[in-house]
Amino acid sequence: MLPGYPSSHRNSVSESAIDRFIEAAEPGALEAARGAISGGEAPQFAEGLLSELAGETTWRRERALERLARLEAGAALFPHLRDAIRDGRQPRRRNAARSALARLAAPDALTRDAGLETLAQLARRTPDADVRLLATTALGESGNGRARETLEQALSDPEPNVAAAAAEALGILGDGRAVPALAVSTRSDPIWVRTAAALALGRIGDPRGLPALDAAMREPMLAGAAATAVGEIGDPAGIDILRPALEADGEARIAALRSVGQIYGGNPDLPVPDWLRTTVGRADRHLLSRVLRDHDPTSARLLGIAATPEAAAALARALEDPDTQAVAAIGIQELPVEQRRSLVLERLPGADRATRTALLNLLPALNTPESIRTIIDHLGDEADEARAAAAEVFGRSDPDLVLPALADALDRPELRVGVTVALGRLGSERCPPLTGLLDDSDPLVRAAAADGLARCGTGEVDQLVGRLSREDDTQVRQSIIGALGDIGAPQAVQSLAETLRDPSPSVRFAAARALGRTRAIDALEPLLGALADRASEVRIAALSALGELGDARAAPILARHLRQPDRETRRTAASAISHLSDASTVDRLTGALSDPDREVRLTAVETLRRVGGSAAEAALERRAENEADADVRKAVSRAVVDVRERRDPQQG
Amino acid sequence: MRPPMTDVEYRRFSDWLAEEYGLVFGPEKRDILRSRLEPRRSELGFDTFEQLFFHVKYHPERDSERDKLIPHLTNNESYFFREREQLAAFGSEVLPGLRDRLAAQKRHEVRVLSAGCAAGEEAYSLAIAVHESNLFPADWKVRLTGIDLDPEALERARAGRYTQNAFRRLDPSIKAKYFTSQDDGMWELNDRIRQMVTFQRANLADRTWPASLRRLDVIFCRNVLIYFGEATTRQVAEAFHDALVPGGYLFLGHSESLSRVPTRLEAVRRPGTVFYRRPEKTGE
Repeated sequence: MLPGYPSSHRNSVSESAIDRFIEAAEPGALEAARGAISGGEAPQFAEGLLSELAGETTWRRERALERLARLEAGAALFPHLRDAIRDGRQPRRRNAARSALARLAAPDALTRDAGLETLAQLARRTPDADVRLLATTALGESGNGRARETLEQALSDPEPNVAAAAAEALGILGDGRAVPALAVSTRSDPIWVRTAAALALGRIGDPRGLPALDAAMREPMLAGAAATAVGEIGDPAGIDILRPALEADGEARIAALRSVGQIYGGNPDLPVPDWLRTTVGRADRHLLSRVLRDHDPTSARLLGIAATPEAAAALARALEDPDTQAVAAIGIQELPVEQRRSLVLERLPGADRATRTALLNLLPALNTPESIRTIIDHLGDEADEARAAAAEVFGRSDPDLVLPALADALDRPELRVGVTVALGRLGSERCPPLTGLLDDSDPLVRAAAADGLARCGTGEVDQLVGRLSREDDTQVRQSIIGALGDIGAPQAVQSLAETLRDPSPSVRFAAARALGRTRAIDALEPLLGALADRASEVRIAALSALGELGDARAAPILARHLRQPDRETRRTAASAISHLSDASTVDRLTGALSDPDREVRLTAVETLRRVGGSAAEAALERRAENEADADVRKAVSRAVVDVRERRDPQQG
Repeated sequence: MRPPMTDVEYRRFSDWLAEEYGLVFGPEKRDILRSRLEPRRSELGFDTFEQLFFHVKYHPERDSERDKLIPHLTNNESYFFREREQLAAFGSEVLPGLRDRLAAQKRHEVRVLSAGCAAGEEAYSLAIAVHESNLFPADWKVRLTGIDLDPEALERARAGRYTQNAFRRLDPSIKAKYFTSQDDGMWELNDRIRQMVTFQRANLADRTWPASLRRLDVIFCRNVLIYFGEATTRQVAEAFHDALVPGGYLFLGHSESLSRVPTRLEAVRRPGTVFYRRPEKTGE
């Protein structure tokens, strides 16, 4: 029994009900709770529940909370829980009551309306500041988007702890509409309210919070929190806001460094100014220990930004260790191009298979005959992935510089497949050698030639169609089909439609995918036919392809698939409909917003955000009130803000 | 060009890996996930990660593609006699108790599982510990099984050949006793120990994995649960309970515990280590 928790609170009947509530399978568990509550034992059941929630067995606590949300009779517990949260004599018990009320007010709880109202009243009207604090915290914990207005009011609570808790709760809710109120609170007294408001702005992640954080960075006591928040928002504009903290030696420097790493993580093409390399370089040792000890990608990225010789050497060593390889690659990617090129070329000889692949993936464009010769040899690498990575290096190099060397290397049998792949990576106007290779005796060469021709435009369709009619190798057929799909010429559609009758499901799968990519009007009928294919994979591919095709006539058929029992079918249909964004999409996707599968809901939210308009906004707002999944809730909230901004940019 | 990984691509991959394999790649590991998927995207010639996702998820020959992808997503780095305190408890307490109990039951067979065995370092460490203990007469059968998701790692485990790196914590005398140096710088495990262990493929996130095994006396599953989300951990803990004989033992990594999931296994605390035991009588 817990200290300060008298055993008389639990009697034998409700004790057995609470044990069943937690331990039995769900139907029996809920039945036990209903029985105890309707049998007049709501106070005893509530007390037993509080005892469990204040207990130390994590899984029992979490299971009790999980089940509470599905207990309609939970409404009968409110008076008791309200009394418990007001009773300051037993702190653990009142905290337990807070957790219970938060769960009962969650958007997926059957008691959400009454739960929210109970907490809102406690937060607004209770004279005891501790109760207001607990209720405010619970409103955040509930994750119920409808708590926002109550929490915005609580930002002005005379008790600073309540105001700080309200800021934190708004951060948890993640609704961008709270940004203006939180921005005001970054100027409130005392400091911990300002700190909570700054951190909440980061958690919400809306760039409209940046001006308030810029101002907060100028206050030494607040700068660390503001810097952290700037990093969480992740907007490139945050780099300049962080500069004063980075260039000073104050406590905010470490937070600012991490935020720089986060911003570059989300914006990989963002140029690194010289001042930033210089200032980050001062933190080498600290960052290196985090890379090696914690495998921390942000520190690795910062080491790359620092780009000192020590940082580069440490990253290169870390790349050779399987434990730290992925993290080190992130750092090396940030090194200046020349430094990265030298590092890779220096480390390639003698590297093991995984390290070779990683190094080749990090190599910038080739610029000298020596480097070209070195990498050409890797086109015959025994590891397929290293060979592919080497081919991609040629794809990012100047074609005029590398083409002669590749053409010569075709004469070396051990390099022939790799060279063909590399030729295919060179892109348009470099195709003539590939056309001839379509008839090579090696199927790997033929497949690579077909893949490469896909990047050449429309000129090679006849050769590809001709080869497809003669080709027996299933793998090569798939490559040719893929190429025809990418090229998408009308004469390819007929040929692709015929391959939908191929005996191999892999070939039919490739054909369905390719027909979608043609975006040709006459691909619709064959794809509708493929929805009845005997292989489920081909049906899924056809469904997806109907979306890529972009023909609105497919919309009603895709919408019907949103009601299929198979989750993968619904996911694919929702994703496909997202490509057909027109006014009717809103009606078709409204039902998908309450699909039991979160991926379907997220896709529907994203599509409605893109389509916009008042009907989409209304559907999203309705969902915001009922969504239990934190990620989906955040996506809904951002979508609502985005749709509103586009409707009326002045309102923001 | 190396394409970026979009928000939707990241979400689809991370959700799928969690659903299918229990592997969690949280937002802080997004770049790591991208870096690990890149070699397969590049080799397959896809322009986007969305294409790779659709391919590994739905292609009719997806199983073979997943076999190639999995080695990039799991960390197979291990070494012999990792976390010595646990192996000490295994040798000094668990094995003697097990021998006495099995002798009383007249079952002269010991069954031990290394779950998430990667290239076999843990499974063979257990085999060496059993052999060194000298507790089991020659007519007893000691069956050690290693299971893992990664087919390439299992191939390496079956070969029983290791680089010097795998011996970083191993007593040189044990190394000299059980391994032979090869011309290529590798070290090969002797046949006697190798024959004590069999390896098979299994996905711990798939509820059916215990079906191919007989009830176990001891399970080692170290540094595997750290990659799983809570739901998978809960399911795996339940499967471990059911796969153990009453009185059987479970060892987890030093940073892992079952405190957040319901389990009928009891924690046993010893200096420097904690392990779990299935109660002798569970009331079932």
